[in-house]
Amino acid sequence: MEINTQSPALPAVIVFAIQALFAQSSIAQVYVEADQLLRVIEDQQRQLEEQEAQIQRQKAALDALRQQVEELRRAIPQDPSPPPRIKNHPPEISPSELEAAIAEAPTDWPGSIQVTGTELRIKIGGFAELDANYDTGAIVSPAEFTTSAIVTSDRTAAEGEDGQTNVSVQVSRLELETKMPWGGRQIKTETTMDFLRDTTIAEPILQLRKAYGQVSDILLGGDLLIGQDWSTFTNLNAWPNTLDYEGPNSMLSLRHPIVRWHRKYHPTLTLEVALEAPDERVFEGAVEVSRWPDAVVAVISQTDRFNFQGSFIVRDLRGSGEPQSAVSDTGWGVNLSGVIDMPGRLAPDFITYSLSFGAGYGGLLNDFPADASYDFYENRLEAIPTLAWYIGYQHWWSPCLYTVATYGLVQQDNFDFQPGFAFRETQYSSINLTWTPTPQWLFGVEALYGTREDKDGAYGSVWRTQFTSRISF
Amino acid sequence: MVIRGVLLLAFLCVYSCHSARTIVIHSWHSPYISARPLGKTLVLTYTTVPRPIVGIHVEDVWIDELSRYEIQAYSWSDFATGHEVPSMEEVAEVLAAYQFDTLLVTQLSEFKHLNRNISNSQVAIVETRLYEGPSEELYWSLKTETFLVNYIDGEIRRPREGDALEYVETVLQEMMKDGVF
Repeated sequence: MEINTQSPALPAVIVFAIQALFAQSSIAQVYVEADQLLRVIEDQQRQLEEQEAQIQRQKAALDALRQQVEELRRAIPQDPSPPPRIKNHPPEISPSELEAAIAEAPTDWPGSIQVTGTELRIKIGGFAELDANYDTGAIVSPAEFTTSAIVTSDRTAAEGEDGQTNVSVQVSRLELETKMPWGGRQIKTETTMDFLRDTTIAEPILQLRKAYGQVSDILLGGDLLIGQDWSTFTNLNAWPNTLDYEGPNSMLSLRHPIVRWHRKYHPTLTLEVALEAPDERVFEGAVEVSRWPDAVVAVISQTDRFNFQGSFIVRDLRGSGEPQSAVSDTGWGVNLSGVIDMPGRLAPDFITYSLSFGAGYGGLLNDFPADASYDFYENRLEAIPTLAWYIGYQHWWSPCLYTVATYGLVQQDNFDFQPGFAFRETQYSSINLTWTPTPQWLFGVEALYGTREDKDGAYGSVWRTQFTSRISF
Repeated sequence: MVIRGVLLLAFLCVYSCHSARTIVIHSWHSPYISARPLGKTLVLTYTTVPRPIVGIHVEDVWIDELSRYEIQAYSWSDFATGHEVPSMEEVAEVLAAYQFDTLLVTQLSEFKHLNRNISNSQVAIVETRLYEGPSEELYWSLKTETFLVNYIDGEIRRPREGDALEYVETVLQEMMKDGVF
């Protein structure tokens, strides 16, 4: 049979046949794909089930962990306090930071700050102190117990004869220190201020206490200090820890401009030589007209149990009693003072003491009796012989509680030409109880008794009770 | 009145003869580390004020006292020369090399200044700390106030023999109370 390719029915048959053929093939593929999809779904179902089982297992583990944590939490004491270092010095130093704590150790000036980009280090310190006191008699030094300020005659209620209370913050202090290396040497400065410019009133008025610079190993192997500091005649180590800001009447405590060289010749022996400003003279009947500076030499010995200073001062006392002439006398003084640490069962108590004598050095004492008196008839200035001593004993009840008891005496031999109200003698006694709950806070009460006697026998005495709170920074 | 005064004076005299040379300010015990024996202990004592220095004398007192309690203790100064305060790397090396169980550190951290005009002091604030040897983890510490021989004008001296002994005994008693000794 011949196929007529020209017949119109032929393509339709072919197309139908092809369609039928291909239709058969695509149905089969759909079944295959469906099977594959079913297998994928089954796999995923199994995975889901496995994951769900895993989640359940993790949940169980988590619950177990939670339970353990809760048990641990219950076992921990409530509000565990941090270690002392952490408690007192936030931010916290964790135990693992011992390394850092030790690494920070090699600084020879704790508490100082280095100025960025320089070798200069600065330290700021000081304290805020409140003194509240009650006097039973007339005295005109509210912030300090200056026994020479006890009124001996014509006492008035305004001077406190009927009793007076004073509250003062005048002795509060601000200190600024710097240190800087200089070619193997060290330059040090210190500037300190308080508010005690006028001791006859309780109001604070800013006062410069110290302002000096010091260079180490600069002259003959010693250090050189230039500026305002305590007189070299003074032994600060022998200063008893009275709450009264002044301390014993016989304490040498003048601060003024000085040039001081000092050198340690032995670990226990130091020599100091100084020229000090011829200022702060106290003359009766004459005006100070200074000429030469004071010269001071001091030898200091410090051993395990003893501190001792022997110092000698020579002064050119020059003044004018009448406008047309200046007269002078030579003043001198010797001071022996120090600290004795008590032995055996009395340790760590200690004694502080000072004995000074001479003529024309009274103005260096806390009570600043006159250095010299002017004889109008003879037109001369006479240095006044003076004897001053004190002794103090500090007893420790515990490392944070102590008592200091002191007694001091200042006496002058009066000249016939001195006026009747001239200083003759003062006595100073004190006893306190001081508590130092932290290194930064000191808190105490003190009872003080003082007397003053003049040349003409006029006499005054005062009891003072003082409360002190001092917080240092 | 007079009798009362005499009695008060007598009480103060008796009290002063028995006044403590070391008092505890604060103690701390880690809540995470329970009591454990000191074991082989390395003792390091040092101060940073007024300058960093190792306290060999106090270390010796510690060693003597710990040995009385049959604790095997060694002074840091046995492993180092000089008085310089070691870095933690140096301490850790010794701890690991000699398999110490405990590190006992005593640090003089501060002085009490009483006088307004001078830096002298007789009372030091001292911290004693115990660290686990291998982990260097702090687990106990104690802060005390302790007497020294006068510290004068930047010069620090070792404590008196009796004060050092009383300090160590006080710390050991506190350790016992806290169950770390």
